Amino acid sequence: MIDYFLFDLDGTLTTEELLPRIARAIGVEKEIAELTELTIAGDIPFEYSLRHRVDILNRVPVSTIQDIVADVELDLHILSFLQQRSDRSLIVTGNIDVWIAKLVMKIGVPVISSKAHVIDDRISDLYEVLDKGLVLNQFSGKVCAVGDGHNDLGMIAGAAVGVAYGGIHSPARTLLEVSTHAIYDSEVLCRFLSQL
Amino acid sequence: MSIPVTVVISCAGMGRRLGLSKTKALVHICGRPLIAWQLDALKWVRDLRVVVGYQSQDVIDYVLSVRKDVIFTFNHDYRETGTAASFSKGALGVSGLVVSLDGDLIVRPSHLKAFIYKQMPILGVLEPSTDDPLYALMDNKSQMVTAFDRESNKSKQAMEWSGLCQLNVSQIVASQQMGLGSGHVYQLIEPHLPIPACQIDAREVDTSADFSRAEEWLSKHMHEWDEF
Repeated sequence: MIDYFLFDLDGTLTTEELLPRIARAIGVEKEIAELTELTIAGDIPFEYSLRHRVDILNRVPVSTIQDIVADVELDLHILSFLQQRSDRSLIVTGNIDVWIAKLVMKIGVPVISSKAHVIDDRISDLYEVLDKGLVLNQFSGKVCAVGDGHNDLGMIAGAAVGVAYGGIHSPARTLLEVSTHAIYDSEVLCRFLSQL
Repeated sequence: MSIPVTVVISCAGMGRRLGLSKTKALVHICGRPLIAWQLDALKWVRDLRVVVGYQSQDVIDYVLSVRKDVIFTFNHDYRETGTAASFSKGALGVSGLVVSLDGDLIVRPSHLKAFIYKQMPILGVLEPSTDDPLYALMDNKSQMVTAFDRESNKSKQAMEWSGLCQLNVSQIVASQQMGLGSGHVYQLIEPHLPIPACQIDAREVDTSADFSRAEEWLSKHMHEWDEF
């Protein structure tokens, strides 16, 4: 029934949000934490938040951030599910291509993300902030989308099966108004998706 | 021994006839939310799905306080649709048999387990006990339900339809294709009658009077949940 599976990255495939992890590693946790919380809930625009967070995290080299991100823990049930269907699975993330590059290589599943140019190991231009809702236009078959934050709203609302996922924190309340399902355990999530 | 089974609890509705401020799943009966009695009786079921609509966040929060491994399915159209829509949505992806339990029905745990273990299309019936029963008319000899009716029929044994059923997903899909997917579960079942009946001991909480009767009945049987 389902032709493509679209998964959020932060807090869905990863067992913690990436930007707070980076912030903790470089000592700007407090500044990032509040922004992240407001962003997940949809209380501030995602693009505004991302650009602001880039300004803060750009104090350290991109290569350093790549290493921090590459070590993040992944949910093994979800990773296995995606890798077994890598020809019809896609990770859709508002995170930035240059920050997640090493992690993406480890995962081995195609990724669509926000994009930035880098000069001298620092982001010089965040030239594309991904609108997840528009990603659905690239698919002609039936799509299942899974995510936890407000920026997943468009993707989940437009999918045939839209799952609000609460693996590491409750999904944004806005997602519950448009999703077809809400699931809070990765093993249960993957068992359910395997049936579709 | 456990069996591969999917159970769908439909508690998306508003429960208007009961006249309380909460969705029926969260109405306290004998000291606990109604759905708590259901969750306890189904704690052995691996694939449990709860269909939510009205006050969905409250229901989700409560269920998660009991167990996390539940699939919540939304019936966002709960104002315009009935239990058939909720059941159909809850059964998404299932192949084979699926059990439907209305969110306002409390079944004695051993009866519910025995019913599920039948592992065949089957309908739960009980002695008439509510203010406004829908009768399951049965063939006396075969003990199959042959029709549903608001009136009892003296020529046939009439039991009350409980709302508890076990169906093949193919039967649900066939009914949906006939345009019967958004009303009541019994309407979903009708094209597939006759279906065997199984008598259960249970109480439905639909009206204020039902609530009083159910609480009296539950107070007699509540020890069974501890022993189950």
